[in-house]
Amino acid sequence: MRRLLFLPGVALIVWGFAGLFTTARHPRPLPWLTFFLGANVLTDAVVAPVVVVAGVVVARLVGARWRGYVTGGLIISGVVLLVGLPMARGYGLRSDNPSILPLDYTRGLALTLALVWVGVALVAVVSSVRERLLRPPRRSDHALKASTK
Amino acid sequence: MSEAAGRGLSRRGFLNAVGAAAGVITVATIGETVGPLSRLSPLAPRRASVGPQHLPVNKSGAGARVEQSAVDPTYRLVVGSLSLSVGDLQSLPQHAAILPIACVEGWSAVGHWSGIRLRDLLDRAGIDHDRWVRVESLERSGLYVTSEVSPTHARDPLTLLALRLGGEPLALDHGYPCRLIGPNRPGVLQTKWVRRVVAL
Repeated sequence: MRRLLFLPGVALIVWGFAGLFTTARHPRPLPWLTFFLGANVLTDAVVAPVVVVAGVVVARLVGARWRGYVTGGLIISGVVLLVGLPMARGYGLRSDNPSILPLDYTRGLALTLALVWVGVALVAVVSSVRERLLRPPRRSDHALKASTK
Repeated sequence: MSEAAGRGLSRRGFLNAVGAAAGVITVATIGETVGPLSRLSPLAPRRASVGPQHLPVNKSGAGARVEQSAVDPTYRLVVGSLSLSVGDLQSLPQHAAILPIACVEGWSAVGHWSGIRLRDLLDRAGIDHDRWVRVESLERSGLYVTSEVSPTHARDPLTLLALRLGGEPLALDHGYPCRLIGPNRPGVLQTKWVRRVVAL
């Protein structure tokens, strides 16, 4: 089954790679190669160390029960920051062109992050309540209930 | 994100987080591509209705340094052996097209264009139907000062050298005196401030 799932992915890669040479009158695959390899170097040299450090910090600070949810929330927040921070910083703004970055992106970024963490909190609470309800009652729970009656 | 093991993020949890991240980014930016959803998207880098003549631009006339050359009274559009003033262009048969500027950066916005069909100009200049043509801008330097148009695109009735947008003369930022606008082309290849069309 897993091998079967590879097929559409490989087909897309082949299609995309062929497009490098077939869609332009004068193919220039070199800029693509720079971007493709550069992105990998950037991920390994910058993103990976940041993720490792974040992982260590979360493991130290957050209890095992909530660690998964916090990590998930951080993954989403990291991606949101990667997209939103350059806009909030106003990279690319030009005084002669009002159509570039017309919104308040600091506010947008804060709003998006807030909604992400509200979502993470909801998922965490709902899943832990459901786990508690679905878990077969342990003997000690019975004993506890019996003694409080 | 089921964390029954209670030992950090499971493989399934990780995949869910990645999926959620993609979903959040999609919703937060989709307004730059799908106009009616723009209110949902606080992180859209463009808004389809914000810009000169209610249409965004990536490069302004000032940014392209064509403020003078574009409004110069000696401006002529050269197509093969033809040389046409702005008045000449306005007196040719005009056609309308509703086409988007679809930027490779992600944003997309529809404009109501009118102008001269590129194929009409090529016919007048005696350029054959099977030729590629190159459209050159008044802009002197930049990555996209020229673009090439395939025979199919050049002969498409929707491919215009537009003179007007939304019923008004083209704003300088949109490529005054005339700009290329055709179906199914990335925005950077819809060359603005056109000064010459050459058969290749």
